[in-house]
Amino acid sequence: MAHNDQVVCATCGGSGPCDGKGRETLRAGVWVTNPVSVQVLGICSALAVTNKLENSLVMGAALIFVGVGTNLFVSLLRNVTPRRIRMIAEVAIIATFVIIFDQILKAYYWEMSKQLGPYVGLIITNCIIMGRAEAFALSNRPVVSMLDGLANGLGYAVVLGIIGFFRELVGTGALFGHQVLGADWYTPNQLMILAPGAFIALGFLIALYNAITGINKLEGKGS
Amino acid sequence: MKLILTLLDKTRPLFQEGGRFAALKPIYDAADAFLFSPLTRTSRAPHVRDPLDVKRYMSTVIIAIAPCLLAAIHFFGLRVLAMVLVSYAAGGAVEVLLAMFKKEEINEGLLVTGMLFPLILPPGLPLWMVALGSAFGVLVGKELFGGTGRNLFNPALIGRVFLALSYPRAMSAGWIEPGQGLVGRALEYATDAVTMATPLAAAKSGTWAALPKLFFGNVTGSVGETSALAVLIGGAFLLIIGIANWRTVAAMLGTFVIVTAGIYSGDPHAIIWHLLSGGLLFGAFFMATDPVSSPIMNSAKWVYGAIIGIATALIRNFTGYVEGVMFAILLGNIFAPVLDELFVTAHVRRLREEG
Amino acid sequence: MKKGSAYTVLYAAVLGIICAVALTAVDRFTDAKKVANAQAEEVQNILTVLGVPFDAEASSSDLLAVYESMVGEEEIEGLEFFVSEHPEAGKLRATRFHGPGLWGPIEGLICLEEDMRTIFAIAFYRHEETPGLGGEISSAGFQDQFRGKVIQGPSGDPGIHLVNDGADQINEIDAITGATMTSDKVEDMLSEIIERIVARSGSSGA
Repeated sequence: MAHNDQVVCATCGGSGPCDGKGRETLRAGVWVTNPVSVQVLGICSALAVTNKLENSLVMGAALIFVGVGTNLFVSLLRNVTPRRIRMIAEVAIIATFVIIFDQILKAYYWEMSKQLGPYVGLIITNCIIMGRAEAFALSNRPVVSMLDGLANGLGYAVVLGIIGFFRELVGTGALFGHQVLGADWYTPNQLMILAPGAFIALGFLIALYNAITGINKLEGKGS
Repeated sequence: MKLILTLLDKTRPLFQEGGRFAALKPIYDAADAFLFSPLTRTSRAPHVRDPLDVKRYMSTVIIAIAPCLLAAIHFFGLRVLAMVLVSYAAGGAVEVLLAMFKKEEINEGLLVTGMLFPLILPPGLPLWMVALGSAFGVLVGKELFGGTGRNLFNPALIGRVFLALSYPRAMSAGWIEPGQGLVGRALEYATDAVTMATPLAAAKSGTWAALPKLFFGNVTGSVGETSALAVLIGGAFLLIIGIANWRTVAAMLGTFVIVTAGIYSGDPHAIIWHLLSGGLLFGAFFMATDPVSSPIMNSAKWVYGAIIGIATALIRNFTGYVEGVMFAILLGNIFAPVLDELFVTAHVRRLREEG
Repeated sequence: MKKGSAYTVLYAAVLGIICAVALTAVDRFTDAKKVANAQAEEVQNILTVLGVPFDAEASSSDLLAVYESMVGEEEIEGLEFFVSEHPEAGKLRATRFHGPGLWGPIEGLICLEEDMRTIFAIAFYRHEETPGLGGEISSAGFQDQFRGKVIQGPSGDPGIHLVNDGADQINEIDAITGATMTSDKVEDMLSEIIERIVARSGSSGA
């Protein structure tokens, strides 16, 4: 993150609760070190639930909710958590938030809960959440930690949204379940709603990201 | 011809680096190389992997495919030619665009892929699907791996597997009934022809097509694969010239016969029937022997062929799919680099122990 | 600061209790709605296959009310039937069936007319078959084929057959092209439930 330490958060000018790292943290999570397209984390769920745009967005929302909540509490407890059991404590906090989200989904959004199946529960093992708690929240103050959880959740949600958009559109000719490409002339490409379609879509998305950022050319210079 | 040559030579500076049409250099080079011999010669694989130069290799394969193509036109009509043209156009467009993007030359690989691809499709497939499959095969199957000579999988098969998974309904409904008689459908375009089940699909429900029909190709199936006779003529030609490696073919067909014999407890009719039906022979001579996606070591080719032969027999008889050659060859392709690695290491160790 | 074992145990216990309390609270808070959702889904499948009209946007409690007023339950020798009076078709009986599919379990409901032989409707409401191939079993086109078919062949043999070469018998359905395995498995699970139905309705004389 050495490349933009001159950037000071516009809202607090470096003296507020986000320690002057607000904008940088957001930018890192959503774009510079995007958890899916750069770090290639959380792939299991990114491949499994993105056959519909709606599912992708709900899954993204779940990650934002769990990420923000987990980072907040891990950060709040960072000075009182014994190092030896810190990972167990993190998992307990993550699991609590995941189950809360899952229960709410089951109560108020039954259809979606059925479609996402086990993948909401599996956020407990999502590398993004655990990774951010370990790498960021454990050594940063609560507000900026929440921002980091939000940024990484957003980064995940944006990538899933894009993949879900293309998979649903190409795979069924619909968006949010509404037919947008005429059924009389458009033949749905069923590969896109199968698992291999997710691999192909994600592959092309990462290739596009790399082409835009030129990330492969920067490699080796160090940061 | 002289006129074209002088024209090409004169306009060369325009297409070089810094010239007015530098972006179109790949097209210029392709025209130049196709009509005359190129100024620069290929120095990378598959040139290194095979004693022939790439262009000669490609043209020989095209000649060997001719009998299959003619048989296909006879049985399924002029539509076959349209499929070939569309396949070339779509694959070519992707090649040209990528060559311009990567500022490289267009390579000759498409000459063979573009011809093989339509021959492994159902004859009644909509032309836009042919175009899409060809483009996908070239882009994902070949160019993303680095172009001709670097692809892990056979690009034509990648295109077909893409279509089979994307449009299963169209791919299982495009089996046109073959034309009968001396002329067949050679003079028709055959768009409204009746479709029927392929011999392998029919066999699953108990109807076995007659052997002579399978041998001459008077059955439905993928465009170029139905006539065992035509495939054998072209295949024999490739074997004699030495382009198709006989070890791969022998291992693949040999193991296929052994496994099939085991399944049908040695019934000779069933073995010959399975040998002649579906895409087995076409796959053995034209697809599995592709020098790029098969192993280089001769000893590895035996194992490679055996993997394909066994997998084909197993998929045909024990899964929901009626034909397994496509998956079997792709499976073999996955193993090819590993097999080379194993056999090279073993070979080096043996040499070291001796010396 | 140095933290001893006692502190670690205490910390773990407190954190565990807090998490457990939070989860219990959420569970208590959402429990009623979750149960109602699960019931409503069951009820919706049953109402659909029995041809009982209901509002697709209805809340779960409304659906349950419709079900309670329109549908009765009846047990014929161990087979559970949902019974409803249809304005045109008369008394309809539906029962559940299930069996293995190609990729996962398939569950469905079959609804018979009063003679216990003619199919009124069929629904495959849960499956994991290949989209576009085996997955077509949940399409209206495939399910509508069953309407009016009979669960016994001309010679009285129980079972519905999925055939490839044109369904022309009263107990034949067009199989799904390209999905032989799914079609076979659907045929098997239907045969199983039909044999049970025939055995029971024969003995009870219904």
